[in-house]
Amino acid sequence: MKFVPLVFRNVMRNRRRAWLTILSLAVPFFLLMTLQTALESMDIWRRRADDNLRVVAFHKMGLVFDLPESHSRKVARIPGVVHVCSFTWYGGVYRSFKDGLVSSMAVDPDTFRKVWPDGSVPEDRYEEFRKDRAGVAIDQRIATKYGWKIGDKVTLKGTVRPVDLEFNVRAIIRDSVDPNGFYIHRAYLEEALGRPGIISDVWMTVDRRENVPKVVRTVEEMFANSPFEVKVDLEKNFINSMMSMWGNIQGLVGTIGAIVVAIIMLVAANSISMSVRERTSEVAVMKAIGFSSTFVLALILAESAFLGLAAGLIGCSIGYALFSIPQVTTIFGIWAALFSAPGKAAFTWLWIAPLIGMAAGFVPAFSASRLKVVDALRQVA
Amino acid sequence: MNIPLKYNLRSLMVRKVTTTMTILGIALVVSTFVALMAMAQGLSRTLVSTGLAENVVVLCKGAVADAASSLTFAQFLALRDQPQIRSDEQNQVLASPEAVFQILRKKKAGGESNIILRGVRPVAFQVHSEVRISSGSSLAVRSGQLLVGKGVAARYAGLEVGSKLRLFSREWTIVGVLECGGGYFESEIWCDLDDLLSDSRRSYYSVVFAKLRSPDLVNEFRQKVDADPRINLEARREIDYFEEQSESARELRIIGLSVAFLMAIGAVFAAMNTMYAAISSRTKEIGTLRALGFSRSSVTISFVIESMLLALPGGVLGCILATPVHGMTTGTMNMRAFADVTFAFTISWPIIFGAMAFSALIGLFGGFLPARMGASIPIVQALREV
Repeated sequence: MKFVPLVFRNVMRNRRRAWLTILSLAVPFFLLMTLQTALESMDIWRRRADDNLRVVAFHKMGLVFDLPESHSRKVARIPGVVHVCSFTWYGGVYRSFKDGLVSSMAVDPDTFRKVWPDGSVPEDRYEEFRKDRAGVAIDQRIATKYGWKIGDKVTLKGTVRPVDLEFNVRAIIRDSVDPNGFYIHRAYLEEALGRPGIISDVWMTVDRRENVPKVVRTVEEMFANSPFEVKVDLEKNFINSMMSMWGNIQGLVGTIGAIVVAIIMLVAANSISMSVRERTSEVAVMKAIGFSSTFVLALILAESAFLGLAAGLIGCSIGYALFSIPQVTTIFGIWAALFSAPGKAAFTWLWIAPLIGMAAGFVPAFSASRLKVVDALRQVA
Repeated sequence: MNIPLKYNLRSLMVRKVTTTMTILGIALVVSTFVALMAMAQGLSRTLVSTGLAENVVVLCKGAVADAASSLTFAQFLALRDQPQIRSDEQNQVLASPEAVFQILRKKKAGGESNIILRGVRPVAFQVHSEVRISSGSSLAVRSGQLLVGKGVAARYAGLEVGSKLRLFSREWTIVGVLECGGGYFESEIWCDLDDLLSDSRRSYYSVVFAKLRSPDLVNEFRQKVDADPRINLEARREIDYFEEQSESARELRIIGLSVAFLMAIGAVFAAMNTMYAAISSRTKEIGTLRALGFSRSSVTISFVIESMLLALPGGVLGCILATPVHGMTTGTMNMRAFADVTFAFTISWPIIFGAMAFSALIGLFGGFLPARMGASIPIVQALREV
């Protein structure tokens, strides 16, 4: 421990280099943490889905095919099914498609919170939403994005259903499952469409985990060989499948991440070898007065770790500060969900920062520790 | 007087390891830039290259994509009578009514996505004259046959010629592969229109594509389609329509540019670091150069050039490192159509030029401050340095 000041002084002896190194590392670290936040957000969706017993039934051919309303009544009678809420995908657009695609779903307000209790909403507010056919319950993040408040009137243009509708904001849900969530009354949409009696999918909760496979099978068999065959998925699989539609996000993030790590290593290794080269004779003197090779190795590795940690802390803190502000994350539009992980996700990989620094510093540190005292002392600056 | 370039080259050679590491670092930054831009470029090229100048798309008013549009048989009949639409030798009007669905299929790489299933009549192949059948046979009317786009055939499971697909309660057979020079239709599956309407129990079309007598007639046609109460639809140039669909490419480009910009900031700091070290270890040399009569500005320029000599090879190497991604195919969601679009990473010349400009900027910003510092050291002090 008594050598900590020595490490610190060595790092800071060339202040400009220390800062340039730290900054040039902090930027890629920030990028790495951003990528991590994205992966973490995707993971949170999955993990949340892991421990619930929600199951969805949708048309076997795909999500754009409607099912008859009667499906939801039929599945409600299956033993093991507790609550049922059908969804009709409205696909509303606020102002323009470019930045106003709202994930608007028409739901059954009576059962919606039973199937989707995620997030929090004041009881009386939700009651007001339930009572107003033209009411809408929205996620607090989308409310912030467009500046919507309780009592506002919002008009959306329908893309999936060809009707434009006006809604009254009645309830704001904190941390619902979807940062873009905009939940409207199914009855209101049905009426506007001329009562076609359709739904997009049926969500249901199952009473016990061991009953899930049975419920899945029963629902699929119930509609087999009908014109409206269904596919039934656990929420987790459904989310995985939806995410895979965007393409190989994990592959992309992983590749960029690997390149970023390689860049960090190069920059750090470069800086440390420059610093070691400049004090060749000093290292020789240390060895001449009796410090071991291992000590020299450890000293330089400690410097590398220090640089890595400092850069990691700066990079992560910037990430934390940025992604904690909802206005920042909503800039990403439909990609906002990728930044919905709590800001502390940015620190998940902080421990790797000193390790990367040490890995990068290993070659210069090793060659310094192997230095022959005689050669090194003979070298002139 | 200018300091010879040889001086910079030799100085770089003396510090081989540092030079190599700096060049490699810049190369990695540039290759990331090139690869991300190639992805956005590939997606936008696929969508923008689709469409012919004389073709129009007719949708219901306000529809964001053909998959979200619907129009009646009566509207189509009134539309078909418009004199601006071309006819072929057999007097067949080149207006193609089509119905569009998105079907969920399994991807080979894992996961699922929506593919456009487009019901067409034989006239569609005359309207979409860029589309051809590259292998297998053409669609027979009301036969339950399918043609798969080259892009989806490669990326989705079970879409080979000869395989069977269960859609709406019967088996359909894949009889051929569609190609259109890398365009959007290669991401679709085509079938007979009446097959699709009867199986899906739908009684309306989604969209009409029409070939006009001349591209100049588009405006006239558009006004007619909008004003005629029997039609009351919205016509757009096919090219504009697909251009609009390329919105997701713009988002990809923004993400790519932000990542590249951040990395570039890091690279500038790293280059500065290298240059500061280079200059501080050569203070004496700088003093000598100045004593020989080279001015401050030529010393500054010389060091900025040296920094460029680190950055530009980094740029070239970065472009070379990124070349393997060229031609790789992948897919992403086109939000407007809520369907997958297959595209190939495309490295175009503007991307290469952009990458070189990008690396030159890294060199310039990374070299300028250190160079100015080096040049400003008083001669006497510089010469005294050990």
